[in-house]
Amino acid sequence: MPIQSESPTAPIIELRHVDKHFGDLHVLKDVSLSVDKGEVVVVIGPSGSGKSTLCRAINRLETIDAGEILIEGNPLPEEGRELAAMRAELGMVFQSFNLFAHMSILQNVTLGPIEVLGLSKAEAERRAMELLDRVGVASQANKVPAQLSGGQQQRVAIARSLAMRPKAMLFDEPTSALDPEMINEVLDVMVDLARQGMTMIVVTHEMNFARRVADRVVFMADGAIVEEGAPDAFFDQPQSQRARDFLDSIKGH
Amino acid sequence: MGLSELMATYGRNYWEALLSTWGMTAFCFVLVMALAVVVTVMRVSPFKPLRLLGDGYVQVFRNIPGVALLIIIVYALPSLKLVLPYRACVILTVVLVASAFGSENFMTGINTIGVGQIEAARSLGLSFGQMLRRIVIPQALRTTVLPMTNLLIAVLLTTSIGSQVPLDPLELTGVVSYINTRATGGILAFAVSAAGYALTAVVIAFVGNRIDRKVRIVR
Repeated sequence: MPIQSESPTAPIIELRHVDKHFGDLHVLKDVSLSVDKGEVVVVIGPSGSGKSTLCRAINRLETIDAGEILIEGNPLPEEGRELAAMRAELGMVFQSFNLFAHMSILQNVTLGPIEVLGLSKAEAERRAMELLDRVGVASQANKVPAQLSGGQQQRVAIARSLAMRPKAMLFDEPTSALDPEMINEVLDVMVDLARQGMTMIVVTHEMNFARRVADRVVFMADGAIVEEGAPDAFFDQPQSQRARDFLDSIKGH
Repeated sequence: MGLSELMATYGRNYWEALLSTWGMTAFCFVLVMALAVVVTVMRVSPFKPLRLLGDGYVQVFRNIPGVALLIIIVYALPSLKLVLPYRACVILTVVLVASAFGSENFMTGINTIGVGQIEAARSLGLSFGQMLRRIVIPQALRTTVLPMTNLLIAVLLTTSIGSQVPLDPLELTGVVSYINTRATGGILAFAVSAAGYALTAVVIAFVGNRIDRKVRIVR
């Protein structure tokens, strides 16, 4: 997949001193993060730590109060056509799948390419079937979302994002709404994606996935990045007390 | 006067009145749906003045009795140098009132869509207009078939305010006054018109149910 970039040295996604409040609640505190092409960054932390907000701010589903977000060195547009164009280049996968309920699986995947990229219906469908095949739900193409299991729906949601040929993918707790037996089918697709060189930011509670796939683990607590590092180093020897407490709290089940 | 005599003498008037009512109902409903979509789009638009205008429209026209509005349109508009034919006055009245209710139906339909699908559409890079056209309006239409069926029946019944102005041909309520000033049809003259409304409403409800079952969104 050819990736064009005005400034090849700029990180694909860069946050500089980002701050955000929800009323009195300070949800992002001076967050800086840089993600290079092909990197897989996994964001973990206790609930309420701001990791979902961080993920959503990157394509401006949440606005920020201060700081900068840069996509390939360009500031994230605030609104309008420029923002829509930027969003089209960033894939987003949500906790609750968010498939379009009135459309078939195939239409879910072809909508963006037809409306936004201007592809012909035939070309969009050809591409969509390839992607649905890749995530293992091609046989469901003519069903509607409610007829699919959660795991299948989430794989369709991933295919829908991939159909836009994004520069990077954002995953906001993609397995948190799934029954346990369906988590792996979604993680497998994500592992494949990472191996093929996709740039990914993944907010998750799946520690095994983080250890196995992440290039870097970012640990957040109370709206700030407390610690970041290579997965083995982080999980085996966390530097901060907060990270040790968090890892202890999820161990031993 | 018995039913057979009534129908023998005035059957043709009833038939014309029924066609007149059906015609106005269909014409009104097309305009109602179109205007309701426009008002609803205003109410969900990102621009506050448009939202206020849309909300204001609904609050005003939902709360005016149809007959009162008809009187305003027939007697007040001419002082603004705007003289409409009587039938246009009736249609305008029905459309203004019913589209306010129609917009409320659409808002309910939109609220069932959920913010998640909207966010998914935005993150694909869809513009506001594309999102409305492909995600919001199709789902709002499909989830509001039953309330809109009710609204169509309400429009059918509301066209009876046409009996308050001279129309030619008369509609189904006005034709009763016409008959009763010429003959003593009494309650029977009303019953015939009532049957016309009721049978039409039954057919509308039946078709509405069928359409709803066909297009309902599985969730």
